[in-house]
Amino acid sequence: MKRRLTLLLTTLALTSLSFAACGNTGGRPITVNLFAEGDGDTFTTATGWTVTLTDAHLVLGPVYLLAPIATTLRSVILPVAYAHGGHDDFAGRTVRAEWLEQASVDLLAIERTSLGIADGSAGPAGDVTVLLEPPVAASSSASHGHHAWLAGTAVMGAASISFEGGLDIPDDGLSRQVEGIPASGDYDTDGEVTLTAHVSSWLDQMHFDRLPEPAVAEPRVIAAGSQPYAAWYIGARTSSAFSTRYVAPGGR
Amino acid sequence: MKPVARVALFLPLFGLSAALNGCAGSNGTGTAVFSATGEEAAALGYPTSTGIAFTDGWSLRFEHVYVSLDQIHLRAAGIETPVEDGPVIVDLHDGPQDLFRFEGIPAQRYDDVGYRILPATASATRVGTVNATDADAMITGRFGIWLVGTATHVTHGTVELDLGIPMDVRMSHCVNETDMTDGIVVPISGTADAPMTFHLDHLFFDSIIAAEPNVRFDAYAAMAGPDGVVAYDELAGQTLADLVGLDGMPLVDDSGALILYDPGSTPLAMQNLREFVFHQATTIGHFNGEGHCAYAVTPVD
Repeated sequence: MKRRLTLLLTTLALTSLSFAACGNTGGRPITVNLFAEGDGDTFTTATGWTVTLTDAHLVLGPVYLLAPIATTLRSVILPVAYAHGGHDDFAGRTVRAEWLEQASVDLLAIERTSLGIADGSAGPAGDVTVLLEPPVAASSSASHGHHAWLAGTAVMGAASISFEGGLDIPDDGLSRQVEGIPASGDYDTDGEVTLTAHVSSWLDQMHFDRLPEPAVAEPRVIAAGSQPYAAWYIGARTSSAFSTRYVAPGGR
Repeated sequence: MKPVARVALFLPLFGLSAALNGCAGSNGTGTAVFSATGEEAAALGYPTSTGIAFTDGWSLRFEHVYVSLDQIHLRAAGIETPVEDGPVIVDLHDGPQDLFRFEGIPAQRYDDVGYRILPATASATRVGTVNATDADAMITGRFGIWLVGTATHVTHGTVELDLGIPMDVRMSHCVNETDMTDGIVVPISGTADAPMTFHLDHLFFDSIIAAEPNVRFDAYAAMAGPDGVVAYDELAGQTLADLVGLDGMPLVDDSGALILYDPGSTPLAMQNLREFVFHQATTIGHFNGEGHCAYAVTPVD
């Protein structure tokens, strides 16, 4: 009887182990196709301006696709933030896949821009971190040497303001690191991750009428030190300034 | 070999032996004393003798720095040692205060030490000079911290600060500044000091992500009502992308440059100064000076 009980317990243990093994294929090396795009050329800001963009470029990369933080029931229930001024939230996270290059992305292009292959390991996505490093020469022409470049027209009532300008992000603590961009799905080889830059979110708090008057003729320049520039600087680096979507291999 | 040198040789061995005893989870016991401190700033305000000062020329003196605390935890390799704590409301303006003395706990390293700042409750013990009226206000406001003070500026005059923040934050995995290791070591028949340290300057930082943020008060002062008091909820009137100064015009520094409060990619419920300050408040809890913790924030209804 005792032997039979031991046999039963052993069988149950082995069965549960086999379920655990079948349910988790995480860790297998994979390659993910990474793309970037904008979210359209016309939108209305929270400040009431209807904006039509004629040019929008962003220099981005590297991109880190991170595994979920949660490893315990407690951490699922209580989201843990390690934020502390100037400290690196990145520490201790598992990188699910990474793309370590830089590219200039035309955010008004009809087709997505292919960034390339992100290497990593299979498993669930957590969130994404995008670094906005200074553009290298090869990436900087379309953005006029800046991290980002915008041009367009903003209209409110009878007012119509043409604008253009570049955004520069100083190297200070985590200022060039956009963290916590939502991600979902189980990453696998030949899956596609598309990173969408929400230019509408960048400009949402801009008061275009506070752009400095042009010396000669429009466009007005989004000058550093102006309210619109400050709004862009803040808006471009919030976690809601970007989103991702994942398409599994075969479109599943 | 001189006797002193011989003793010096054996001291490290003795220390190693004691450490190994601790690691092995011996039957020895010791004591842990948890205190709370807001350091010099809580008692004497800003600027401090260590050089923390408002870059926009304000000074600030606190009348009260109330903190509501509970649920200290001591864990070794995931196993929690039960301790008899309980909710307290303490005024850090009174200076450092011992809150809990845990005697007879296993002498060992506790690699996960933490505590909780939480909304004050009626069951809380008032420590030191905390009076019943203020404790009731903490309970009613669901405050985890409540700072009351007076800010003065040579040009702008005086603004009263009334910063009661409803908050519930669990600090865990606190690092000990003494040796930058996790938690504390309770020595056999000895006492481990465990100061819960609160960095009030975080509440006045102008950046969440900068390596060396400035400490500012102009943006606070501009939100003071006609009564000359600036309260926590009034900070919601400052939009981060469009800060205003005391004159109602865009907030600028002495050189005329626009002042920016930078949240980076920190998710805020709204892009205003109240939410910015709330986030900063969730990071004020430290351990034994500069030791950092992990911060788990639970929304307060």
